[in-house]
Amino acid sequence: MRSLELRDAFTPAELLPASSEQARIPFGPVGSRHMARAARTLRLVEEKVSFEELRVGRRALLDFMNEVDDETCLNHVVGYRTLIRSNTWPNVSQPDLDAEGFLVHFERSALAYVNSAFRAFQWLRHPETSDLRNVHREILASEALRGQYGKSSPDGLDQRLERCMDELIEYVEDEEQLVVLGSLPLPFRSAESALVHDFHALRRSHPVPPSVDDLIEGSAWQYVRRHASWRLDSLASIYKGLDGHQPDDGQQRDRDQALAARRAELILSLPPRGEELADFLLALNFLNLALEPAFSFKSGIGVLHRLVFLAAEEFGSTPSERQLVLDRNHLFNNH
Amino acid sequence: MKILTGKRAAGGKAEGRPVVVLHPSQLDDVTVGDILITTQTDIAYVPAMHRASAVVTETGGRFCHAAVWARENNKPTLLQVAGITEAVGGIDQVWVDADAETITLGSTTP
Repeated sequence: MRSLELRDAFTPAELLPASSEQARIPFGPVGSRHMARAARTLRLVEEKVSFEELRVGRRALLDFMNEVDDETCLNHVVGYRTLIRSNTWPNVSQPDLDAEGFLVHFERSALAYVNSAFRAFQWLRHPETSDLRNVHREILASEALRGQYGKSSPDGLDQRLERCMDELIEYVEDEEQLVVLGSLPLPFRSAESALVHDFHALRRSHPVPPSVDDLIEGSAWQYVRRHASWRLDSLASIYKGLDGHQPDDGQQRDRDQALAARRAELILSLPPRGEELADFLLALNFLNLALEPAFSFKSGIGVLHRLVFLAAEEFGSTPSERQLVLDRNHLFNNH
Repeated sequence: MKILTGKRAAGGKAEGRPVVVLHPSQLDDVTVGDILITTQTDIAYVPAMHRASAVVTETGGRFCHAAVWARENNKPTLLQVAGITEAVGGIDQVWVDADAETITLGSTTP
């Protein structure tokens, strides 16, 4: 009964009308439905973050994040990973969830994670307005939901990537071709490359780190959202770290064109199943490389989650697994 | 001299001072031309990765962040070099041959 309850809670969300899902990305002779979906997910998540930023106030968010102590920020990723690994999460296999269904679920979990982060922010700013235990419950549920599609889940992004690659490699000659099929085509970039590419664009308009007012009112805000967790010292650190670095857009374009040509050729040689796998591989890679670093646990969104975890450390007990599952499912169905 | 092996993420050769980074607070230790040695990379490591002449990690698969970044930036990078963060203790020069998938540890030319 319990396992049925867990599975039934993850019934696939209603799919969008076909017209909005058939956006084509022009690489190869055939469009990429899954990749279009993944790109849409990143756009929706960032739009959600942007909406919440305006709702709570950019200045309030900036002020708050810049008061978080340096040690907490420096140790954030390690600390969050420790939290994930030292707790048991109710991750379940979802064998009936196909590629498209997975992407829909992933999108919902990513959006719910953003929602919960900003509810955490409201409590962090005004702890008198609600009970920490309730906020903690939501943040636990949010992490449980995110983790269902995360690295340690039997059906998370990493496992799906591995299974996709294990199957796709049967259709290609070697790993090198697999890498070609999975490499992100411009304008899509890994978070690491986007950090540098966007920095050069930022530096053209702001040769030195922008003032707080410039940041809040101008185009530089997008940079501090995506790459600096809303922290001025992170932004300053990027300026310092990339001082003297020159853009190499020409090389990247050349590389991308060569990759696109090879990819198109490979896609043509694949049967329909191989083509779908290649599309799914690209989508999963894009989510892993671009969305996760910018808007998952490593980001400012994750910092807000962790601050609640740290505040709740004084609790000796946490919700039961059953309660955690119920809370997680509630978030999934009501984000 | 000791030679360790790994998996190539992006090819090329580089030599330099090995700098082990196990925490973001150590990133500023990496200067231009150094060899960045770590267990796994993180987005915060990006400026240091650009300063380094090569990157060597203990973990990571073909689509890990370090591998993708390495291919995008043509930076010699080796993954899955077991024990490298400890092995370079006391070593002042290493040679990375990502095409041969080796890293040679020592203080004289091999």
